[in-house]
Amino acid sequence: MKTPPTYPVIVNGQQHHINAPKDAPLLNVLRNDLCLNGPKYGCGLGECGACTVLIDGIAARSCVIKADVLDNHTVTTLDGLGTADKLDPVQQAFIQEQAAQCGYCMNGMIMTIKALLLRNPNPSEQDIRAELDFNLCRCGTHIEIINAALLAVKLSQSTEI
Amino acid sequence: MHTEAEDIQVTPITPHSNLLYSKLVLPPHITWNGLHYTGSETPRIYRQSLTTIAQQVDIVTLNNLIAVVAPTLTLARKAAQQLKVEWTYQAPEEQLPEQNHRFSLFKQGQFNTELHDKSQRISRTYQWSDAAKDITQSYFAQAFFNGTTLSLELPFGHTAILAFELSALLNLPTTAIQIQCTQPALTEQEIWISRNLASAVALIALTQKATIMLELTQEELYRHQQQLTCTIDVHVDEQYQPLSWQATLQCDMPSIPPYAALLKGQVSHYESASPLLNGQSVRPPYHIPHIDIGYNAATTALIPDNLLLIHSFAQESLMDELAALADKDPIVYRLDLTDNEQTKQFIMTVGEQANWSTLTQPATKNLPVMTGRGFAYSQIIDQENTHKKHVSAWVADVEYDANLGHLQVKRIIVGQDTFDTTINKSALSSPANQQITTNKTRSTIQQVLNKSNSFDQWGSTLANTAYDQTEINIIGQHTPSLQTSIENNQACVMPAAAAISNAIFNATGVRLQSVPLDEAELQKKVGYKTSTASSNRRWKYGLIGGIAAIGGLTAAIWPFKPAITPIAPVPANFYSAETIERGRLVAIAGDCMVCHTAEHGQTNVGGRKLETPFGDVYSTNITPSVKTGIGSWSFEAFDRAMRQGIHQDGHQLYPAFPYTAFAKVTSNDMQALYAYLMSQPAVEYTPPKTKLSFPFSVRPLLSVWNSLFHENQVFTPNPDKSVLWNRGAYLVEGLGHCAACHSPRNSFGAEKTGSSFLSGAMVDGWEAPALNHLSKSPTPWTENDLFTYLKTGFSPNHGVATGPMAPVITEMSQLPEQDIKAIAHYLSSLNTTSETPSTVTTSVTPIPDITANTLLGKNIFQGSCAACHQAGNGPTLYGVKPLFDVNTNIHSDTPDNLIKVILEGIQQPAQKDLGYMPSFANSLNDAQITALAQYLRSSFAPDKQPWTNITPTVQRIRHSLH
Repeated sequence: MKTPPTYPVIVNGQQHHINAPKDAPLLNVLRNDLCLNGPKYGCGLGECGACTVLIDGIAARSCVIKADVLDNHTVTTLDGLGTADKLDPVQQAFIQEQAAQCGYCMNGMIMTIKALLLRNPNPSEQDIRAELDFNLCRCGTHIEIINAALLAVKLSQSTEI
Repeated sequence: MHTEAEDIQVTPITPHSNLLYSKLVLPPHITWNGLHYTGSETPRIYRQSLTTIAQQVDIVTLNNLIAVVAPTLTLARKAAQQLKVEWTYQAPEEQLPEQNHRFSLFKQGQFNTELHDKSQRISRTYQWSDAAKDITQSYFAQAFFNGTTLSLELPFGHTAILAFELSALLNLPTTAIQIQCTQPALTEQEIWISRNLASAVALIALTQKATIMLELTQEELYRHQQQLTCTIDVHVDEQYQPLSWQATLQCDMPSIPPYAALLKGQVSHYESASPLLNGQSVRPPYHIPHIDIGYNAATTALIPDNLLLIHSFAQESLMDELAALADKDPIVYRLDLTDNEQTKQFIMTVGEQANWSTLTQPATKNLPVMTGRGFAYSQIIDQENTHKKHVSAWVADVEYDANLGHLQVKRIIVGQDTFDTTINKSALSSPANQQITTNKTRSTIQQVLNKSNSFDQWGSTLANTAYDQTEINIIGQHTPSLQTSIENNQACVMPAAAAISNAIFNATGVRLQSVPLDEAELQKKVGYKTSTASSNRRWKYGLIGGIAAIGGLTAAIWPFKPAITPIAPVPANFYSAETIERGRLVAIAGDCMVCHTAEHGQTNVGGRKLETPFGDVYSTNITPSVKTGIGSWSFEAFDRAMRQGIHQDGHQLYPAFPYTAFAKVTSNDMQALYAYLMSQPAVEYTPPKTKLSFPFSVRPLLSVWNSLFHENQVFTPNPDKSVLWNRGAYLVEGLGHCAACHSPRNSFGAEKTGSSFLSGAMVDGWEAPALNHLSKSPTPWTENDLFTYLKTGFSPNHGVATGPMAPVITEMSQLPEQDIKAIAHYLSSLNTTSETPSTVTTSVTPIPDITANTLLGKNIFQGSCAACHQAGNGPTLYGVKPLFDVNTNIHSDTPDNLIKVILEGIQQPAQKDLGYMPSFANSLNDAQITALAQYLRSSFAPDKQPWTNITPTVQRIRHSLH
């Protein structure tokens, strides 16, 4: 059987070579080809937000986006946000507030807040609620998540130079 | 595909990682009176007009200078276009001529008109204006300020001049400014562009922490219109030798500072700019007893940079005219009037090297292709050393094709010298200097010529290749001066405009007196026919009359057409790169590959199924494969297929292939298209056979169809309309074959015309909306909206391109921007209501009647659609956010397009950055989709009748999905 040719992509600042079809869902490529399991498969229809990644710093639902965006965009997943030694302030805040029950929605919550902070470093609680309006959590951890997001705003500001 | 990455490659600048893109938002009027800014001021910025992209865009305001800064170029462009700014503008009072003084620049002899009572007086006025040559041409500059040092990267410019200017503008020492220019600026235009880029990008970079990449287009760089005039009065004796020469130069606006400095209001350092002009330089270098050269202005403080250029153009044009009146060869005439032996020798050397022989008068030429030669001479006296003189002479060869209306500069011979013994000339004839002069010559030709945009002209790239073909010979081993002055010195290009204009006169007998020399003006004056074929035909009918016409008709209906002899494949290098490039654009505009490429198939090998009411038609292989494609088709066979729908072997083609539209294509475009297709790789592939039901399967019957519904006639422009309109009409009615989908068809499958033209139709289960009632959409389609939609596939005021329109947009976005503008312009002219400015309506969702079904629909909307489609607050997600209250599909009479999109999603968006939509075919059942459609219709188009029969439509469309 003929294997399709590989092509280079850049994810989390690192170059990888993949041979996935260009019309494969981005989420499948990230999880299956690149073993980046931060983004989760939820609804598969862009409704729940569990699969959120950043494309050029903007939140994107990777289950409904095709792999060909990798051609000319930079993709960041939860895996590339921070390291175990140096967590991203948003990750730090979610740990500190213990804002997870089952944790399946956590990737989407963190990535969506990260995208919000990238374009608006000082959002109000109202902004945060609007931003998370379409990120679904089934365990009822909403209060903790909002608290974590508010803490993330503070932590991000204090870590900025 | 037109992507950002490609845009940036236009310049050799390499983008940095922490990079923000910027665009200026310029006021409508930019004027200045020599002391301060007098254009539109006190901007009121409406940030909310940025709507969904507001949070990603930063707005920089420095007085009247407004810029947007965004993380991507697309976003920056979008923001600059979308940002609403209100300006106050007070038109300056008309300046009375009395307020101007005439400043003498040079005077010699007793200038007294009464002396010349018996002589003949000749008076001419010449004009010179700087204008955008190609409004879509973009320039990029990059700057970064680290708190102490500003570093800039520019595509061209003179670092020393720019550093000096920036230092005054930014209050930074020149040592804190590092400028890298890829090459020196070659023309006045490039100097102007570099100064604008540098000042604007520097001012913006100072306000930001990131590297700023600024884009300026030519359209933005020529908001001010500066026009210079030169009026010359000469008195001549019987031999047409000038006795007196009085020239008056005038400029409607002093040389304007770069926009950014002007708009920021920091122009004090420009006021003191003193005239850098030596009166000796404007003195005509000929033996004329009385000379008076003056400059009309309120103040001499600012003599425009182009003054010497227009003066030289006026002087040398008039000298040429006098020579023609005297019936003398232009070089001989000048030599007779030249006292200076050095100059004489120089002119003779240039003439000899150019093989100059006495010119024939233009009247003797009456051929369709006219050729001519022109000569011009000029000199500049050095600023510092008046004994030093830079001289230059040009011989230009031009060719004008009256059939095509095309003017071409075939060859330029540039002679140059410096009469000064102090320079070691041999050191200056290095190849680098020769190259600079050659480049400078080429840029100058481009600057002084205005290629016209006829309706079958393709984009700037082609216009530029036309200039690149000019042969340039630099003669004389000597370049004028040291390296720096080669960059700054105008001397070697000063005779350009006059030499070319004189050559045009020699070819056509027409004198053009304004620069840029305008091809369209020449076409008007010489006479210009777009197609000789159409006029011949009219003549034929007129002559032979009705009987012959009937005979012709029977011949057309005669169903059996001869085969055209197959040819050996056209060799790959047979056509020029220019022709093939033109053909590529023709193919894009004609959307050839949209139909001739099957899904996931190879380009142009055919096999795409087109569903028609008469059966399925499969597109054919149009690669130059001899066995399975069109490799053995002669141009004659290709042309017949394109215009009459007849295969090379003589069989009739079905009008699913829109030859009815392609017949309008001009022969030049058809040739180019043939050249392009023949130069593509040949692929062996036999697509499935078309099988229609009886009687449609009998192909010869189509000849009757053709005689009834097909007019084989090339597009004729409407002389009452603009070039832009005609270009748009040509693309829409001809190549673009928009009517193939957007016009309804009669029961014979022929497009209806008249008021039904582009009035909407159903294609492949999609509704192709009416294009002649676009103004009836919830928000009227403006020309701007159409342009944005056609260029990007999305209009925030109307929606996103889907279905068969998506690949059309993908193709179209590769066309020159001007062509998309033309299409938008023409389409908007089909709509009767006047254009209203496009406003983004904020979504006010009325509360519909709550029934069980709409409640279900609302819940589905909230769960399935709202994340990406909810108006107002919500997450900012990758891709565009089409809103329903303005969406054309929700306001349509039928729900088909909406249901198709819900079921199929958008798997292949017109442009990648638009984002995708998942298919809901496997997640929502018929009842749920019905409820959703009802809810959307009643909520977002409450003024429209509710749709009926939604469920059967859902079932039908679901069934048609593979």
